[in-house]
Amino acid sequence: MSSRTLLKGGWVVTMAAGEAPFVGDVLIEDEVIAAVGRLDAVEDAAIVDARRHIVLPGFIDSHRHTWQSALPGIACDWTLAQYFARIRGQLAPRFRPEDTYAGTLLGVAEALDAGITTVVDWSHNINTPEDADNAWQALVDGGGRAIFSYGASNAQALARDGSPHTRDVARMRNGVGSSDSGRVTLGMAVRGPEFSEPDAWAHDWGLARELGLPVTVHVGDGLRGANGTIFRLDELGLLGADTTFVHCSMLSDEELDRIAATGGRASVSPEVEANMGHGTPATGRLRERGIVTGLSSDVCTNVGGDMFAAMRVALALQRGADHAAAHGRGQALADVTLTVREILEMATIDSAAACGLDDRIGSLEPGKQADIVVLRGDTPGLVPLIDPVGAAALAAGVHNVDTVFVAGRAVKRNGRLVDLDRTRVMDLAQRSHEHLLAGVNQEEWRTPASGLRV
Amino acid sequence: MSGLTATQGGSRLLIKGAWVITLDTDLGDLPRGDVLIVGSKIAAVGRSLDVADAEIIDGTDRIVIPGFVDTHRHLWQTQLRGIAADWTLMQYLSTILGHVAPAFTPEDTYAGNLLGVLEGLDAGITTMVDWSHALNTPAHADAAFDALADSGARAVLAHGNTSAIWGAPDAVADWSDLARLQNERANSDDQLVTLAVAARGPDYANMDVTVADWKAARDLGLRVTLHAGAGAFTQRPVATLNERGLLGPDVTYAHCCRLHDDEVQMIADTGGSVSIATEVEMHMGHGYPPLAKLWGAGIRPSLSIDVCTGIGGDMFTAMRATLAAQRAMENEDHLNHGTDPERLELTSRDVLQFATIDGARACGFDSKIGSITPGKEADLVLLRTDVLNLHPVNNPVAQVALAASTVNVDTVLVGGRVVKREGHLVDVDVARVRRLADESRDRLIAAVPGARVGGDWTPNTRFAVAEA
Repeated sequence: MSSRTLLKGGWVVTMAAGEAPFVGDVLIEDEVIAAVGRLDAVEDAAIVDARRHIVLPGFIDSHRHTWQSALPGIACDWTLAQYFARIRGQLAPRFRPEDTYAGTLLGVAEALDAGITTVVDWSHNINTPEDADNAWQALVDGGGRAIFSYGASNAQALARDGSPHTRDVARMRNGVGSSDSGRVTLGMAVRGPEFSEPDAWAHDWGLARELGLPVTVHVGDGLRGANGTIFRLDELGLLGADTTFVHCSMLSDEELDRIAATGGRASVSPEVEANMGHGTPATGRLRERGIVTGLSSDVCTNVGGDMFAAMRVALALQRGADHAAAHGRGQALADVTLTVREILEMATIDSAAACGLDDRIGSLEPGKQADIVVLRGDTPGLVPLIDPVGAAALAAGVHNVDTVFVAGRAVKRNGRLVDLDRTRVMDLAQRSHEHLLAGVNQEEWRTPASGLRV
Repeated sequence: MSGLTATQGGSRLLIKGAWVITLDTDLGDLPRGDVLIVGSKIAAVGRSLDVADAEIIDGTDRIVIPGFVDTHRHLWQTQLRGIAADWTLMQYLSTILGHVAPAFTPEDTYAGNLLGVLEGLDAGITTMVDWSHALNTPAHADAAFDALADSGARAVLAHGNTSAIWGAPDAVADWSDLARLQNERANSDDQLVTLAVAARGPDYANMDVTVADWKAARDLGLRVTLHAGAGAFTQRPVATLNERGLLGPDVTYAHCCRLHDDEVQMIADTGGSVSIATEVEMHMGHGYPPLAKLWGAGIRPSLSIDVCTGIGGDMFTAMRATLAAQRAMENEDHLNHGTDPERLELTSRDVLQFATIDGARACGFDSKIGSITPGKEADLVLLRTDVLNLHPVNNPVAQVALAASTVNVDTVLVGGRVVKREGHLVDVDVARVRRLADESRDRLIAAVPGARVGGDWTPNTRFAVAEA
């Protein structure tokens, strides 16, 4: 006997191509979306009254380093260079497997609470197989959908050498990560030309392709990202549609053209890129080349981990740059360049495509996995609803996230996470936090002098 | 400190054992601090205050900050929320001011104002400068004032006169009703709702009427706020005002994006204040927020939301957008010069100050609110940290600026009165607020040809701005 849930009478924002929002229903049957529309009587279904609320696909964070989640806000006032020196140089070596577990679990829980149903967990502090197993277990225990993108060790991250990516990933591929259709699946996060020597490149991409795993790589990060990263990979024939290029800020137009020509996909984290100095977000340049581009939150050590602020800041930065360019020509834009619909696509269906998951998630369409968010539309900050897309993209917040489904299972109801033991999640994070920062003098980190002269 | 049991009148509230970010330069941050409130005022701030007979608010897992101050928000249009999410500044001006504002009844003004000011309180904004430029009759002005007074927030009704004078640069404003309001309703500086003048200024009006607007404000002893330097059409508005001797410490300039350096210096030299609406400025084409230019001249800006026709009305995202925008520019400058940035100039503490104490200063209220200082009014926000997005507490100022959101706003006090408690607005009939907003939205959408809900209405009409 299948289990059926009917989300009834909400503003349904399917994010299916070309489909406008409508007031209607979504029927969930077991793990999948069975029907979407103005449905007549449905028998034997639990009803969720969605009137006044917005029903949309779960958000997809296409690049997030959840392992750092127990250090929230520590890097708010740091540059990228300070981040590398302090997180990598000082704190990452302190991580034990239980810290990886605690951080990853907190990160996934925070994401679910904020309506992010899928996280690409860019896990690049994997120093032992036990670390990898702990990260994986946290993703399983968290209850969200995830790609565990198995990354480098801290020693490799610090050395930036040509050492090969560990073959321990093959162990996982042959074990827990053998299925590509489970809730938690396996991928590889490689260092690439900006964080490793050439010997590693062909090896790492080769390993991923041998194992049939999607690849994600940081490129275009600050000055080190302005040295022809993509051309180097291209010379080795490593570009391809299985690779998600993260950031891309400092890549040249010609490099972006090569990503487009080889079917590559992208993920941008505009808020972090702006704050830490990766370079001007490449949102517009990627999109105008037709490169599918997802949105991501990157590091919660720097910015809060919800897609609401991510969308607003990404949209502001792109539009701001486009308006300024027009002003520079003595003109004003007649229309905005990037719409709220497009930024919401970047947080849902485009992010799904950027991770290779768009056949399964990212929109509310029959047959897809039932990863769904119901946003309360009756809070003082959202009433009255005029434009559900604009409301979801530019006005909602975590306090609006009422109900969240992952694969048809309610993981949040009435504003509260269900199943997940919040107290345990928070206690583990607190203990990990205390271990990681024991004896560290944070005063200088916390309160840098302002550069303002007033 | 047993003396604190003594004599001052009024109810006594003690926030106990919270992480207190006072933003008072002498008091600093207190990792486990208490705040005593007597009547409307902060009576004491310290560690383990010895207080008898006070109602206790448990500060465990709470960060206490001064209430946010939004120095520029057009509350009246809140029920048109989201309608302009994809509009440029000119599309917004022509449609909202040109076509929708004339359809506003006093009931619409009340509904929009009440909804917006409560949205603000819900998000921890305790002081709102209501930039009200569609007060088409005295009844509209009364409705706007009523909504602010009914809300329990601290507010400045910045009277922007009728919508008809917007888009009509030569139109003369009649300020007689403002004098009436002042006499009848706002005759004390101690009340929660006070008045100011929201003038068109040189970007939207000719200089003769601008001079008259300033004279009206100063005759009534009211502060002036204006939009200056936003959009492609702006033409040295501050320099123009300066030629007429109209600048002063009683003036708040909103936006300032495209002012020239010498104009920013003129504002600084005359003690004026600035309100930045970073997110709207970038979305709609006002120009980049001019932060570096401002502090180069010695001005710390305040922050504002501006219009909820596009974006949500909380200061959390305003702080994040401001940090991102400014740091993006700074960092890009470094990268263009071939260096990675070594440090960030603008800090998370700076933007929290912009959103609180600098906002208070921009309203002329800095002796009254904006920091947690004994003797100031008790406008306070308690943020929950036992929510996943703020746990564990590690770097409180930064986490408030870059990670907190409305979900964390647990308890809010205005003038010592609890207006939000444990996540719920107190004494607010939310169903009524919603109903009024829904009805108003429906009436306005029906009244404007072509308007519709659903998000796909993008009108293209003309709006007149001032000629050079």
